[in-house]
Amino acid sequence: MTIHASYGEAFERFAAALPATERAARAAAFDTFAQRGLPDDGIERWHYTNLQPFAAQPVHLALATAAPDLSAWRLDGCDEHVWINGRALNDAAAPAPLPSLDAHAGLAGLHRAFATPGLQLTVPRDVRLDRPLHVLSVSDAREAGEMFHLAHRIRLERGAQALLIVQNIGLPGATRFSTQSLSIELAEGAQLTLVRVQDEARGTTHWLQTAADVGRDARLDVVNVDLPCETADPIPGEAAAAKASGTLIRSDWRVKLAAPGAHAELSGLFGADGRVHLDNQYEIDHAAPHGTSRQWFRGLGFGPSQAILNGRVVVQRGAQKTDSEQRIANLMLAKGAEIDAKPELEIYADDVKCAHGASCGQLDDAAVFYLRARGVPEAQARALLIYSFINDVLARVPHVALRLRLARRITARLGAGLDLSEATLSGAAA
Amino acid sequence: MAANPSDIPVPAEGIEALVQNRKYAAGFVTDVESERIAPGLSEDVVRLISAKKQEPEWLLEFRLKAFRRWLSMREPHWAHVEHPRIDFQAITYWSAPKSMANRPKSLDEVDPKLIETYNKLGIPLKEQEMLAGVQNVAVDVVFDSVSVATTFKQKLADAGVIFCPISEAVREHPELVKKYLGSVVPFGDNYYAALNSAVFSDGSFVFVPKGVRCPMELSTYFRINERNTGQFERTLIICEDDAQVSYLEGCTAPQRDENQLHAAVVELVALDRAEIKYSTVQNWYPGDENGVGGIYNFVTKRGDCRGRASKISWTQVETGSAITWKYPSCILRGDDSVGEFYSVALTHHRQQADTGTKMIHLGRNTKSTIVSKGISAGHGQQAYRGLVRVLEKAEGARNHTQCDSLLIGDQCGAHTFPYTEIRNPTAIIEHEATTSKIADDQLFYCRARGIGEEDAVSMIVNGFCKDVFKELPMEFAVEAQKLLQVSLEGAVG
Repeated sequence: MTIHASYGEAFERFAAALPATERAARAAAFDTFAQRGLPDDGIERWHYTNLQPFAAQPVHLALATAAPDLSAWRLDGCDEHVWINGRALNDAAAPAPLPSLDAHAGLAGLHRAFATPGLQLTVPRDVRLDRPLHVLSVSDAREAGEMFHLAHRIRLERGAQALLIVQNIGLPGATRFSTQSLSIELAEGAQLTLVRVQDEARGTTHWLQTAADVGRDARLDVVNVDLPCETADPIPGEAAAAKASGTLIRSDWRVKLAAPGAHAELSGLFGADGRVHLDNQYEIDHAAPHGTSRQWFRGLGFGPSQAILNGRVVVQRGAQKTDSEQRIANLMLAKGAEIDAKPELEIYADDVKCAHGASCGQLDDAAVFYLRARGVPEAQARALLIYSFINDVLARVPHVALRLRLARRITARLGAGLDLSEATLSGAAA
Repeated sequence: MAANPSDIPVPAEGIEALVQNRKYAAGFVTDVESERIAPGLSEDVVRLISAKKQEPEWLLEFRLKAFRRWLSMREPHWAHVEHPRIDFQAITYWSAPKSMANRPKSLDEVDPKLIETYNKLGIPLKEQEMLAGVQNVAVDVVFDSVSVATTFKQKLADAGVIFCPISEAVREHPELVKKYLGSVVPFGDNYYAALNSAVFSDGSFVFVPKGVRCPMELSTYFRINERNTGQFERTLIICEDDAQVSYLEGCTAPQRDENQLHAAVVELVALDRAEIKYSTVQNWYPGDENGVGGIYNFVTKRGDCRGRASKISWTQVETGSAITWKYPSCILRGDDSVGEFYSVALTHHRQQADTGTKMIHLGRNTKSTIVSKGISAGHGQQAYRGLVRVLEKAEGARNHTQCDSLLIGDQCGAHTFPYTEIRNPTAIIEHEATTSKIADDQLFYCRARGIGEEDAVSMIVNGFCKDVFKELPMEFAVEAQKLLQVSLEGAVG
């Protein structure tokens, strides 16, 4: 496996600034990356996504930049934590353990070798955070091939509750490569709602792994919204960075229901356009009896793009009385869009209830006709139906202002303005 | 451990006896003197096979190209199955009953021991019997590497249908074989297809000319007899415009402790408005309850709906084999063409199956239906893996997939991997899957009415599989139900 020499150079520079105690582990991680390289599409879990070409591209550590204007993304009433190019803006640098990842060895090695600490938070027993946490990771690449790697960790102790909003923001600029890990641990009875908004810029190659361990009677709710690169303008150096598409986003979600009574709800929504390659891999691992899980996914193929949605449910031997349901629905709205969906089940126990379904289609002509017959113009009728289609997922975003912002952005792309306000949204969510 | 044929009561009728034996009744070995080449695979072996079959130069070239491609390929590991590495040099790639060296001119000259074998399997070879009205099915029989007999040739020839061993077709109808061989499954399609293309032995060839509706069901029985031999048959079925055929295949092998490899390739070609129905009852030796022995069934089956409004329908009942790796597929190339896949797959003891289909929608208004029923018992592992791909030009494509799993016992596994790849915004694709077990209240209901537990299970399983069984020709449907019952023996209680 050959990797570009610039990775080694970047690592030497990076390692030189590390405390001596960390160097050995980092060097071992880098060696694994150097030996194994990045995953290619010959590996079943990477069937649709080939990262190997990126290992042959020159990279360098992302430069420090001045804090950009974040007012467009800021959310009222939240505790804000900002990272720019992997550097904390307002968080004190605290020593953090290296992230451990269950992923392709080479890719995990790369992440571990270069990871800088992101959010490191423990919510103590029975504490309920009254303000949502808003984590902003901004990538501001000025030169082609900038890379950074960020590792977040959040732990909720027994009975703790929190709302976490993680937003990736890409400022337009040059090509870039970043990885991010988010490790979540929920102790008995803890409850976490995680909203992730993915707003990467054109020319980005990004890999995210979220791994959650859900304890006894604990509950995890995830809403993942992917709305990358809304403009289709090419940027310099793009062709070299990504062969078929300008932007490549791959997200791995691993949720382990580790103890009896654990519950997880995963929902996802994507809008794909602008030759983006968007690969979401969701996995729920029922490792203990009496676990319940629900998954809802909605996808929109706006234009030339490839969106992949793999939803996997594993029921381990002994995880009896598991109850799991998964629904995937996609709408193809334009030529040139490709949606590859795969709802997987892997079941090793017999007393379980597992159902899944996937569909792909268009708006129902009869429904459009119904609205038009009542005087709604066609464009608006279509927008309304699409809005109702995605609202099953959108309504799960607990932060109303964020929900409204997302709803407006999506409906704006449908070419017909819907008059949405916080009031109508609250009504819709009820 | 090879069973001595004399230990096993010879069934008068295959199925009835299977039920009474309550074990793998087709597991006997026939003591026929056979001619085989030394184990191992090299270019020389490929040349030798070709020479033994007195093949023309172009076919040898085809084999050699495939062999060279195979050498450069990696063994696939994506399937949800586990097995020790296969030693391709330990396999014998050619074995033929010795008496076949001088091919029999008629059935009377076929080695009586072979006839006996097929009688044990319940396959009447004698045309007289058939003509007496037992069945109206023409049969081609493949024993290890060669086809031993084909019945009803004359009657078929009168209708213009060619039904013969593929080796004979190479000699008699080279232009047809040359035109279609490898046109659906190219020689380098996948690892096992490349291997088959290099060393394929025999198999059936069917050609139904324009406008002909094949007057009877066609059937092939495959039998692996020799130890350490692989069977690599090749089947090619062509239906010209407006033609129709229904083809059945059945498979058995002796009970042996070693694993044996079966890597077949089946190619179907349907031209304008043609219709091909291909049914399989696969009962290769599954290995014993500890997973010793059994056939590795790694098969590539693909149909090409090349013409407008053509239709290909696959129906399979998979009860045998230690490992099944098989995805009968349809390429829906012609506008308005239709692909269907109906499958019942059962894994018991240590059996593993990774099976499903591929529906590739290329033409406009193409439709496909997938119904898959997986049953897993004991330590069996059962996976459905299916692909529905709609390409850019396939306006108005439609697919419906129904995929159900039934688990019997808490040590088995049932898995679903349905791939959908949609590139046309007018496509309508639906996938539904459920996983369930035989409910206690269902069993209680039956038992309260005096139905024994095993019969009750069998009844419920049959109900679960009904959607698929109704697609099988009558004789096969009966056989399939009985097979399922036998295969599930001991799964409950």
